[in-house]
Parts: sequence; C-alpha cells; structure tokens
Amino acid sequence: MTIAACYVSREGVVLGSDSTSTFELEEKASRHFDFAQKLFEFGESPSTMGAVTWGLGRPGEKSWRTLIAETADYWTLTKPSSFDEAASIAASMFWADYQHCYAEKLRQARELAAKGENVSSEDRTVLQDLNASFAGGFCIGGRWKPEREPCAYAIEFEPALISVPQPQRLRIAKGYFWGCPNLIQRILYGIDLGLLNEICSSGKWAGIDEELIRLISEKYMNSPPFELPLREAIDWVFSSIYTTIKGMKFSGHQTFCGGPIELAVISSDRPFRWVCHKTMGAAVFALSSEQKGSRE
Amino acid sequence: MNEKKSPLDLLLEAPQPQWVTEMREHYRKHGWYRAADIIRLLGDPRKRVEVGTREALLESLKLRK
Repeated sequence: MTIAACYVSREGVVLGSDSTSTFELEEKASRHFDFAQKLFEFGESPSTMGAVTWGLGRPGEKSWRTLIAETADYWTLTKPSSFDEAASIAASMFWADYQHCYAEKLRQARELAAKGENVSSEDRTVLQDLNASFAGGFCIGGRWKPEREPCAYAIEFEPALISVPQPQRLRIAKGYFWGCPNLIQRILYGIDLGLLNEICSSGKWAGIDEELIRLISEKYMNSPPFELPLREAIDWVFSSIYTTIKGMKFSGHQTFCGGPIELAVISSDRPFRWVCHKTMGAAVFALSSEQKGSRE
Repeated sequence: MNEKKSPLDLLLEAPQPQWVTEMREHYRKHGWYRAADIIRLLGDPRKRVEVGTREALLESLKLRK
C-alpha cells in the first residue's frame, strides 16, 4: 500500500509519497520494507517532469525506475509535441510490460469482472485479491518544454482493464491522493466514503443524501478552499501524507504505509527539485542510528 | 433512574467489531491480510481521493450506488 499525492497549482506541481513497499512471501505472507522509492525525476537531471507511483510495486518485468527511465529515453527519441502525447506514450509503455508480465492474472480478473453481479462469493474474493494485488497507477507531473504551464496526468489501472489506460489530466488547485483512501478521506472530508455510503444505505438516515453531505462538508471538510501558494501546497501534501502514516502507525494494524516521506516540486520557472529525498544510504543510516541509540 | 448515555460514551464502550477480531486472528495465523479486510480497513485501492468539494463527495457517493 501507498499514500501518494499530487497537487497542481498555477505555480507548479507538487508530488509526494511514503516509502513503504510490501513483498509477498510464500503462502501469501508479506513483508514490509521502509525505503522503497516511489517518486522519481523523469529522465536525466535537470528534468521538468516527475512521476509518483502507487499500488503494484513492480509494473511488470521492469521496475518503475527502469520503466520511467526508458519512457524518458523514448520521449527523447520521438519528441512528443505535447504533454498529452507524452503521457499517452508513458501509458502505452507501461501497458505493454504490465500485460506481458501478468497475463494470466489479468485474464483471470477480466473473466471474473465480466460476470458482473452473477459472480459467486468465492470468485468475488478472488477478484478482490487480484484487485488488491495488481491495481495501481502513476502520476506524471511537471511542464512539457517549452511550455511553462504546470500540468499533471494520472494513469490508473486495475487487472480487469481491457485496454491501455487513458491518462487523465488533473485539475488545477486540487489535491489528489491514491493508495489508502479511507484514512485520507477521514482527514480531508471528516468521514470516509465507505461509512458515508453505509449511513445513506442503512435506511436510518431520514434525510436525503445531499443533506448529509452538506452537513459534513460545511462542518468537517478540512481541505483548502482556494489555490495554495506553492510552498503552502508542499506543506499541505506533506502534512496529509504524514498524518496518514501516523494514523496507520498508531491504529494497531500492520503498517501499510510509512517510511520517509518523499516530496518533489516542478515549478513553472525551475526544473524538478527534491523537497524531501532519502539518500541512497538511508536504510544503512537508519540502522546506524538504531545502533547509536542503543549505546546511549 | 437510567441516564441516557452520550454518543461518546456509547462509542467508547463499543466492543471491538467482529470483523476486526477475525481479521487480526487471520493475520496472526497466516501472516497476511485478506483483500476484503484490507479494503474494509483502508478503502478500495482503485479509488483516488480528489480534494475537495462537496461535489466530489456527492460524485463518489453516486458512483458507489
């Protein structure tokens, strides 16, 4: 699991993520690591593009790092004329690797999804397993030179998808989060949509749905009502990710997101810049700190 | 005379839900969470959260019906 974020403002694009990755061991047992990289500069530095990933830890035979680097190489060769075209190329390159590597799982997911409501409870569980393991996405943000306008596209996928995922342009002055929606919805909306839906569907809510939503949005929504200045947007993305990580840490459940928070910004006047970035030795230094602490 | 309990008291006194007990028991036995439990705990990983207007809330609610 991941908490990944993107905020697009007129000044620039902010990308952020946690650093936890989960690996399946034998018989579905899993292990969590705290120093995965999910946020990347796109291509050779200095670049004006970045990408953040979530969900599936490895998009196919290749790692996210390699796929992103190869996509950037291909852009250099083919020179797409727009961000829109570049995002479509990235989606196609991802799709080729994803389809090839997970062909059998994707075929199974499509067959089960095609059954719709007629799916058995056993098959529903299998489909949920497949969705939990093979869904994900990536967001490309920055500016497409020589353009100055900040822009971002999300490319979201799930195993039952039958064709290359279409990049969706993200809107200005809005925050987008992916990975573990319940926690971030509680922080930002004051309620998660699962609970909201359960209340509305319970038959015990006497009002209409819109009234309940108005009640929540007027009193409990905790999101900025206007476009944030760039540094405040960075703070907002950081705070949202941080709160999600700590909420999970102290929930008493297994850690699904955590590790160092990574943040990057691409502004209209500057290339990709790291705001928070762990060093290549971060895992080593973390161990050293623990050893140092034990001696004191 | 029975005093009516406040919502906070009721919340604090509520027992751990059965599904959480079962989820933890399954994790203790097998070392992994069932997808259904993860979705209930964290939400559907395929759904993005877009912040944030009440229109977005309404849209999300409509999608789930």
